[in-house]
Amino acid sequence: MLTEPIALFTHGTEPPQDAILLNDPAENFDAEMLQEHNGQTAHLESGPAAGTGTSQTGHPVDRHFILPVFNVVQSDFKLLQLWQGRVEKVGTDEFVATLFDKTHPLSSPEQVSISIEDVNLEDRELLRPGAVFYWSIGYANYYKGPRQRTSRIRFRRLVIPKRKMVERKNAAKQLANFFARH
Amino acid sequence: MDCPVKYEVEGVSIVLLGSFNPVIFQPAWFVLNKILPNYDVLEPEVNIIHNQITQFRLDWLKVDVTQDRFFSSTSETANYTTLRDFVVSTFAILEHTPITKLGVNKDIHYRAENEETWNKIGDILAPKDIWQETLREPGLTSLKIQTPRDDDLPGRINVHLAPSAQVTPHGVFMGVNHHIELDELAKDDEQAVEQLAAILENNWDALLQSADRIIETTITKAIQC
Repeated sequence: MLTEPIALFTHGTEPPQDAILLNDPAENFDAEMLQEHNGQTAHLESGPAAGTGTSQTGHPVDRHFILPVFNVVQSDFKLLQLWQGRVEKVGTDEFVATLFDKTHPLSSPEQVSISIEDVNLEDRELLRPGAVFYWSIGYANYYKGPRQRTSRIRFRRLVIPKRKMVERKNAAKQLANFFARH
Repeated sequence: MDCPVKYEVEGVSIVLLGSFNPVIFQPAWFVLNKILPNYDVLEPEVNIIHNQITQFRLDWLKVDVTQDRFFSSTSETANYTTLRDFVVSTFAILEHTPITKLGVNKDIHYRAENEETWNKIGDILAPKDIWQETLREPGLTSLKIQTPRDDDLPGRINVHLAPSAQVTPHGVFMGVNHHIELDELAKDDEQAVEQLAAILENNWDALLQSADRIIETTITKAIQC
C-alpha cells in the first residue's frame, strides 16, 4: 500500500522522464525545437483498433503494452578499474600517492609513484599533498569503435562555501594570535 | 548459485527541488567558479540557456535546470563521485539557494536472457492471477513501490520498475530514488545547503550501495537465480 498519494511522484526527486514543463507558455521559446532535440513526446501513440502500434522509440509493440521511456544516456567509456587516490608527496617528475581500490573495496590501500606527465596540464595546479584524485582505466569508444584502452586521472574539485572559508581563516588567526602571546 | 546481474546501461542522477535561476547554470559559469575544468567544456552541447530553462550536456555530464528543479546526471561509472562533487561545489557557491528536497537516483536497464525470463520477471513481481479474472492478457507496464527510509534521514525510498524501451528486446528498467526532505532538517536556506553538502559527502557511498542492493536483489529473486 502506498503511504502517500501517487500524485506526489510527479513532483518528487526522481529524474525527469518526459516532456519538460514550462511555467510560462507566453515566453518566446521554441519548445518544439527542444522537444524534438530531446526525442521526447508529450503523449503516447495509440495504435489502431486491431494489430500492433508503435512505441515512442519506433519499436513495434503489442497494442496492450505501452512502453514508457526512461532514457539513460549510454556512456561510451566502459570502466574496468577505479581508484581514489590521495597525493602524499610531489617530486619533479613524479608524485607519490596512496590508492584506494573502489572497484574491489576490500583490497588494501597501495602506495604508488605516478608520472606527472599522466596528469592533465590544467589539473597540475591541484597537484599538492593531500589532494584527492580519481584514476580510472577502461575502454574508450566502447560502443563506437575502434576501442581504446585508456587511463584517466581526474583531480577532485571541491569548492568550500565562502562562510566556511571565513570561519577557517578566523580560527587560524585566533590560533596564531594565541601562540604569538604565549 | 551465483548470478551476477550485469546492467546494459546505468546512470546516477542528483535532483534538487527548490527555487533556481536557470540562466546562471551555463558551462562557462562552472569553469569561472572552478567547479569544472576547462577541458570538460571544450565542446559542450548546449540545448538552451533561458531564464526558464537551461539544458546542456558535456562528455560525462548532463544538466537540466528549470525554475523549480535542478537535475544533473552521468552514465559514466568513473564519474559518479565527480557528479557528487559537482553538485556540492555548485551549491557551495550558491549557498543561499532555497532547496527543499534532494533525490539521489540510480537507474539501470537490464537485458533478460530471453523472452521467457523477461516475462517471468513481470509475472513474479506482479502476479496476473487476479487480473486475468477480468482482463484479457494483462501485462506489466509500470510498477512503483515506496518505503520509509531505514536510516536517520527524513524521506522515503521509491522504486520503479518497467519494461525498458531503451534496451530491446527483453529489457527491464529499474530506478531507485532516495528522496530526502531537506526542509525537515534545516531552519533556513543556508542550513539546507549545508545539510545537502553533509548528506552528499557522508552518505554518498551508502546511498548508491543501497540502490545497487535493491536492484540486484529484486532482479535475482525475480529471475529465480
